[in-house]
Amino acid sequence: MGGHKIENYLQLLEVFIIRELKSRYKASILGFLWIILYPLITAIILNFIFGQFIRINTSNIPYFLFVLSGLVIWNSFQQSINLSKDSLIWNRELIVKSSFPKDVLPLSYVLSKIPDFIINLLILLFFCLLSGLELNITLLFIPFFMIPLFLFTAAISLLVSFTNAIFRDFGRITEFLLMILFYITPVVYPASFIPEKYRIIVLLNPLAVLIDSFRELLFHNKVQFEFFLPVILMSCFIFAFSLFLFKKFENKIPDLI
Amino acid sequence: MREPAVLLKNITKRYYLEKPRTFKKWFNTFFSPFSKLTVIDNFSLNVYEGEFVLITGPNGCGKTTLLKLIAGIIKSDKGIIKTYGRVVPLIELGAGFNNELTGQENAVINATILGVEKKKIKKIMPKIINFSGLKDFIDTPVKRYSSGMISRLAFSIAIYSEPDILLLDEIFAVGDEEFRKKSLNQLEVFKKKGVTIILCSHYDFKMQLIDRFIKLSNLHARR
Repeated sequence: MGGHKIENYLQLLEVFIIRELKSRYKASILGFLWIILYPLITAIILNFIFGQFIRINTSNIPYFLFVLSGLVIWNSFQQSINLSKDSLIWNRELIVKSSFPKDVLPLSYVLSKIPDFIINLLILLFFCLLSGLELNITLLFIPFFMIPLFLFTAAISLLVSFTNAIFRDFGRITEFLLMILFYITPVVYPASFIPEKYRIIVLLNPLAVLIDSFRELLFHNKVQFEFFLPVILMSCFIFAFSLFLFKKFENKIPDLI
Repeated sequence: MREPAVLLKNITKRYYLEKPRTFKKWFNTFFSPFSKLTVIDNFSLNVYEGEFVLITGPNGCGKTTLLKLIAGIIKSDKGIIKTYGRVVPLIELGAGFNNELTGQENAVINATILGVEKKKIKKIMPKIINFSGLKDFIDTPVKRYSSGMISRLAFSIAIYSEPDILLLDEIFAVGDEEFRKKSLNQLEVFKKKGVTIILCSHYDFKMQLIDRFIKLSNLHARR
């Protein structure tokens, strides 16, 4: 019985991911192109503002590459949350008329963003090669960044989608929370800009740690195990906690949505 | 000795009349809790394997709520619910179909939600297409379907998902005469196979298939 349940759960995830990918790109031809255009356009804009006008010091790293490397991780997080925050509301009909584990809804929307992440990553590597950056064997560590990134994203999507389904105001509040998170995460500036006494903000923010170690890996070929292992543990813990909370209140969703 | 299929013991279900949609309302609940409407109060029912039960009653008496409770879509506030075997609910035909996707793509999703394995879905798909009579439209997006086509597809999926307990809510209100006859024939086949069927309807229609009639009354008729 247990084995069958897990099998059905995975099958549900699969069909929901396929459904999301199909309906996302069926309607528009440009749809797929937007995956490429979005990070490039944001990187160009931010490059002008923070690279040319405000001139953030990134010590020898071209600012365009610097900001693009941060955006690969940040955009993946932000877009997944923006997509999955309404996942329960969009599927209200399904929730009130059929019985299935509701957590597959936000999780499938998050997982459907993995191809986008990989494409963004390839764009970044392409520009790195183009500007003469030497890429070496340490890049094989990149897949390990995806595990904590997607665990953390999935955890937040569970919390946000649930809260949003019950208090519709929360969707709007999420936009502001994401804005705050964007500025306290070293996306447009290096992590070293944060004063020592606020260091805890970086250490407690998995995205900040991931972006910082990602840049160390990309631009200095350094693998920062001392930050990397804690961030994996932290993401696992946050995910387990969020899933526990979601499962605890899952039964209330059909009555309250 | 007859085996039980569905056991309901002292079920009570209360719905929120108002949902705490906004933070303001949510804060207010600290001072005045939400009023809840009792839809089902201390209700018990045993349905045996292979039985065909018809539940009738006026609007708002809790027919759909009862089916949703049995299907596990919602949870009761009090009482114990036990079901034996695969429960397939047809609360609203075609609920949750994705408009952009084709009939076949929706059928795969729907069957998965009903708990059918991937291999099985592949096997039953031709039967679903055949029974629904949608051969020429199965690769058309569902948004182009008529309401009758949607109900035919949904009903066909439910039939071939091999239910042990089939829960039907007002399903004969839609579909044309021919499909209705076909569906009733199918219910007869199920009955012979020993599938438990619980059907909800406004109408107190008499059928030889039906073993037991249950009439629910509205708890809030005076309002």
